[in-house]
Amino acid sequence: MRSVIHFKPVGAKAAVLLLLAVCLPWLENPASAALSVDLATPRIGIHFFYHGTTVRVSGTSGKGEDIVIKIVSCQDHEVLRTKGKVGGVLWMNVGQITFDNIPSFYTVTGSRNPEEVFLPETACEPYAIGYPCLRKKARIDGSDPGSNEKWMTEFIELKKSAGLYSISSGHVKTEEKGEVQSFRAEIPWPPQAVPGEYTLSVYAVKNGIVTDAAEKKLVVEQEGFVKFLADLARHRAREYGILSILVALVSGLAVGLIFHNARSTEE
Amino acid sequence: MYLYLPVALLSINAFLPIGLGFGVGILSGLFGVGGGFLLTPLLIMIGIPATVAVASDANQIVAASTSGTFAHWKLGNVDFKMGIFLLIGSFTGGIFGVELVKVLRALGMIDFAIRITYVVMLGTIGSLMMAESLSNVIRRKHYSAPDPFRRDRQSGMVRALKSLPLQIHFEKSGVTHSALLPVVLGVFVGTLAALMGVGGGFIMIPVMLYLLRMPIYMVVGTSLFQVLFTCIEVTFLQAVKNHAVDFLLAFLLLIGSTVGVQIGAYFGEKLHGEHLKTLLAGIILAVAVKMVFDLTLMPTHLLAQAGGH
Repeated sequence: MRSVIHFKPVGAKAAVLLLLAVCLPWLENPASAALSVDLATPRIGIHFFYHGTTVRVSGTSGKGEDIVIKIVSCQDHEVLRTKGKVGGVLWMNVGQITFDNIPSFYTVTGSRNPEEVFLPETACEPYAIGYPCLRKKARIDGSDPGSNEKWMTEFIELKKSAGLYSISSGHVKTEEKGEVQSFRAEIPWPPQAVPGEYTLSVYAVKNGIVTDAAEKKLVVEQEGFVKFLADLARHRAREYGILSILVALVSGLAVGLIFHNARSTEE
Repeated sequence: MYLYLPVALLSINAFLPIGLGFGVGILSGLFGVGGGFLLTPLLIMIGIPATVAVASDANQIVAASTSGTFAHWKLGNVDFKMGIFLLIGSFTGGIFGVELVKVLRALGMIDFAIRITYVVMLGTIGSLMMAESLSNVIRRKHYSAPDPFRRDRQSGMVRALKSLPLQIHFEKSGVTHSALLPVVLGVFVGTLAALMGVGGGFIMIPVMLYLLRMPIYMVVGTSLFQVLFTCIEVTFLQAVKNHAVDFLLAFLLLIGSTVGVQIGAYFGEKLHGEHLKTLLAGIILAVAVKMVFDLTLMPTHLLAQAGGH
């Protein structure tokens, strides 16, 4: 006896809809493998011969995703002097401005130009990718509101020229391995980035939408003789001042004696 | 070879401060100036924060002026007696100057006051010295034995000074003055030095030459002696009040400057006094002109790190 299974049309439609509901997220993000990040250099030690270093990040993400890496300082408050014309002729320091809610250090790099990877609607909130996003969030105190735009521009230009702000591509390399993608980043870390804590954020982006994100802490601190001198200058200032003066006196005298003896020998 | 400066928070090619120190050291040995008015702006130009530049420069001037004072002492060119009277004045003036800075800072006029003082002092001193030196150099071509010290000329000012009380003879310089004169002049120089953040050498030298009538060879060594103590005071205050002395930066500078000052002292002996004065006047004027350019041309950035002086 053969059993015949009859499907009602309504049941078939439901099955198709169920199939689509299950598969649609996969179709939208066909490679939604979880992002994994390994920060090879979670601590940067500033030693005697320090001249910057390279921050190494690696991991895996979904196939075909763009990888954007942002490193931001925890310090987001700065007081800077402003220059203006006095008497219409002389340029000099005329006041100061406080910048809040804007990082002292900001670097963004990616497998493509980071500013093209994100959708404009989400680039700023919550990811803060791009200088216009920093402008939106920043607070300025000490200037008239009409000049805020001008001072924000000056702030960003100052930071860029000091090597403390950068947006770039080319430091992140990706490689597809089956259904996942591995990535490796070697981000130049400038020597002028001061000791402190930094947050490293990695975004996996597909079609302008962030599919996954990960955060790591990066600590930059002085070590060895550099730390010894900095601590002495900060916490034992009297002894440090006297030591600096004594070394200078002894060095000056020593060189004086060496030259005097050399001249006496010649004569 | 890059070294990291722990207070300036900067990585720097070690040969740069050594080279800068050496160059300015030669000037110190030649002219008796600390070189702060030259070296501090150069340090700021290479990225050292202004406060750290001023403080660390004062520290290295202690070494350079020790080396220079020693060299000039061995040549018999330091009038310690005159130097001590000047020091009493400049130390007192330094205290006035620091208070003046506080008042000007509270009025929001500190930057204006410092820059204008620099331009006026450098411009006036440089111009007067240049005019006087050039006229003497020209006169030398027409007179067989010129007296660069002009002891035979008794101007009204000199007569007035000789009428002051407490006249003391300073044997090494060969001059007689009231003890009040170097003290009062020292107060004036010390006040300006504290305001401008310098050792005061380039102000003290024309004061010694034209007001105290000291011979140029005595002026150089005695000025270095006075600058030495001024910078010991400044280094200590900067370390304790501002935590701004970068010992490593100062050490790199002094490696060059202590050697440079010896070479400067050696060549200073070979040069004629008027040529020395002309050269110094030229350098002072060049710095004054540069400062005028800095004041009148639009800066690259309208924002700068707070701190300085």
